[in-house]
Amino acid sequence: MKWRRKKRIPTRRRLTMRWMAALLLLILVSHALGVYCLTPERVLRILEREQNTGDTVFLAETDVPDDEGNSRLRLSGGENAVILARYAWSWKHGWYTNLAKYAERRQEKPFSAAVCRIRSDYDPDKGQTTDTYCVFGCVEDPGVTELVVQFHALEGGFDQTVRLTAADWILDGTGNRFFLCVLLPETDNWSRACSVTGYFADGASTGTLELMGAEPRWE
Amino acid sequence: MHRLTRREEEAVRQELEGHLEDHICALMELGYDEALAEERSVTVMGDPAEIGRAMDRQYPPFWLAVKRVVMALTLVAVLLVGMPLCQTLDNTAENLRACFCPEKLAVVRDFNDQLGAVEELDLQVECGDVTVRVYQVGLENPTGGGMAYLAISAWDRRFFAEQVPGDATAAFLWNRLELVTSSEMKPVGGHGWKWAYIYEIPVNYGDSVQMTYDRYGKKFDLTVELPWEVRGE
Amino acid sequence: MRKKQNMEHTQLLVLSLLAGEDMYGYQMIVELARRSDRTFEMKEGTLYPVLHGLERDGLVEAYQQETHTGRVRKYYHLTRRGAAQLKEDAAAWNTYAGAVNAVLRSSASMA
Repeated sequence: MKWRRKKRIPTRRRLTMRWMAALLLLILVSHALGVYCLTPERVLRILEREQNTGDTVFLAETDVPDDEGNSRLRLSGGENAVILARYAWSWKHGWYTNLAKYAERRQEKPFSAAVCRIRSDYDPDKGQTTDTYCVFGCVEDPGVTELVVQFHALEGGFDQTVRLTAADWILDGTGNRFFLCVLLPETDNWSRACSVTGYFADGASTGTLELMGAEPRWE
Repeated sequence: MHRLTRREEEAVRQELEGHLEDHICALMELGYDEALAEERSVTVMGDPAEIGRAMDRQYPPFWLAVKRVVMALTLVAVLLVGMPLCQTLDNTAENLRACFCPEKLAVVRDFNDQLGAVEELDLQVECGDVTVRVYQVGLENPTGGGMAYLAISAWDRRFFAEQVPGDATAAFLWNRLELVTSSEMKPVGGHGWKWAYIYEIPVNYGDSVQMTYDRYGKKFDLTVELPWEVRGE
Repeated sequence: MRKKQNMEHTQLLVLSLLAGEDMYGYQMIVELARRSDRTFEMKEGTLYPVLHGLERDGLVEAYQQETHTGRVRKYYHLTRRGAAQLKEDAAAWNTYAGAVNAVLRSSASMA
């Protein structure tokens, strides 16, 4: 008997289901590999892996000041690092990040912090540049009750001082106290210094962490 | 038959033609001659327009429309992620090479082919999800000071983890490794390829290289011995 | 030739033909004529649209098979859903036929 081949004929419905399965598979694989992220968490994993920081979790988010776009600023923190990043969604790329800053946590220090410029606009009519800075980090020493963030405008702009106290801490549920401080926009500020000083309950100072520069350094 | 696609129409046509053939064969077996059998079969089949209309009713447009939409979306998806996915595969391949055959990525002789001594090593240490391995050392002058070359590879043990876009996949490491010897001069730098890197380090005779990394809670300390040769007198 | 009945119960007839074995279109027409002693002589124009409709509804599924002459034929196979539908339709037909017979018997006994 000659071998007779049987070939199933799929209906329209079956063919459509196959195409839908293929599309779904493509999307899921792209998400899993971080090529087209469907959630901001996946983008965070990429950021963690880029600097090998270990796991972090989302703690807080805020809109980027005056940004009509779809960017949101999110703070995430973990055992070893605090990450501040701007997340945005586009149909072309999925969730992606266009700005990220890392603050390394040093648990032997009173606190860890970093500064990040989260927005910079140039107004061509007035010839002005407006920058917005943001200071973030983690309070390591349980004895520290207050942090004072100081922005020294060395050329142009204006000085700013912000006091962070217990009401400002962002808690992650395991006892870590994180903070996020968005400064007021500075216009035409060409040179600056930014520092954070911590204070214990009895008023004693922890020393000052200078944030501007290649790496934060303690004074 | 307007609501059928070309392929579907072709299939229906084939089916009906096959039917006609079977009928003609049967009639010819009964004794009809070919022309008469053909005429009879076609007549018995009925009005082709009516058949066409009846067929059309069996093919509502819903699933076809859905299929076309899904196909278009899939095409868009492939155009969007096709290239990046291929790059991801490329990155994974680099990662695997760094793990199994880093010599294919970089060897000390790439940097300087006038080396007096080259030695293969296998010093490994873990740094979070990444394993760091010193796999080769080279010395310009095994009997005196000069430049030493360290070949280091790093790979993520989770081979298919989400991919970091861009080139310098282990940049977090290469920018932060501290290499210390007894020489006052700092390491000149190096060159590398994503997950493998060669460092050029000034050394004095008899030195070993102290390699440290301490960042984001991950730290390690490695002492790399160099292949010095005994100075003959 | 009760053509009207043909149209109404085509689905039932086709499903019951396939309950025994997989068949192709021409084979079904021949079988139907044979089993019904030539009472039902279905037209191709009736059969094929019905078959495609059944395929669309998932009551039958189709596959292609090569004949010994090398031609490709489309065979139809009854699915599980089709078998369940057949049972339902057959039960409905039996009820209907039974009711008609009952009325006929009682009116015959009246006569």
